[in-house]
Amino acid sequence: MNEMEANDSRATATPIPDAAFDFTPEGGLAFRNSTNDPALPRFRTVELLGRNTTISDVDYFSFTGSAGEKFYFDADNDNAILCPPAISMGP
Amino acid sequence: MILFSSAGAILAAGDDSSPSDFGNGGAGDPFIGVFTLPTTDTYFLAIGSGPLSANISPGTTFSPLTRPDGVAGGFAATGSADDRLMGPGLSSGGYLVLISRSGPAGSVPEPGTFALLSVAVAAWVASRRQRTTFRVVKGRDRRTRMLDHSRR
Repeated sequence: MNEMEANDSRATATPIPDAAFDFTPEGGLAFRNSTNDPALPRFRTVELLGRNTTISDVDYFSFTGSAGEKFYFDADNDNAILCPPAISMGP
Repeated sequence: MILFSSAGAILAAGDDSSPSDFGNGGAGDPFIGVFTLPTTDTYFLAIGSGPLSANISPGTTFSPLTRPDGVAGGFAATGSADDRLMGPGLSSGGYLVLISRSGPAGSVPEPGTFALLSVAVAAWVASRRQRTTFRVVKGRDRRTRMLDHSRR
């Protein structure tokens, strides 16, 4: 699914409906499950497509999840724009 | 990528993932996970370019996350009350991000479903109150009629 601009804050985040997660292998880009074990059920996956239009642009997506549910977030792109983020300790 | 709770607390972040998993185009791209959700909630994923960073409040503790293939997959943060991002990044451009989850389809009510459910419950409670009031009024009528009858 595509981002919906403007989604530059949590208040304007692009919502990801539960139904958008499916068992499509996403071109083989997604790990199968939390241990990548072929004997265990596959996780449901959604593919997000978007663009950081400027160097200051931050895109937000939102979804609902249940306590104890396992997730992983995997950026895959060809031009490696998504380098860090790092962490700053601050007041 | 940075993961926030609905209250704005930074829960997890992912730096360059190394070695690249099978989806990466060469340079390391961010990976967060495997991360276990602490509560049933609405979560927010922020996507930006480096050196975008999350400002973590003092006292925050970190724990490393492990990617499904066993290598480092970013870290989880506990106790941060800060939702600020420090930037800007260095580059702009398109991205592709995959989010995978363990829960079966339909296991989490959508926000719209929550709202519909609330309206339905409110309507049911209102109808119950109305019925109770009606019964009380009817009962009072009967008692009044009995009193009238005994007076006669």
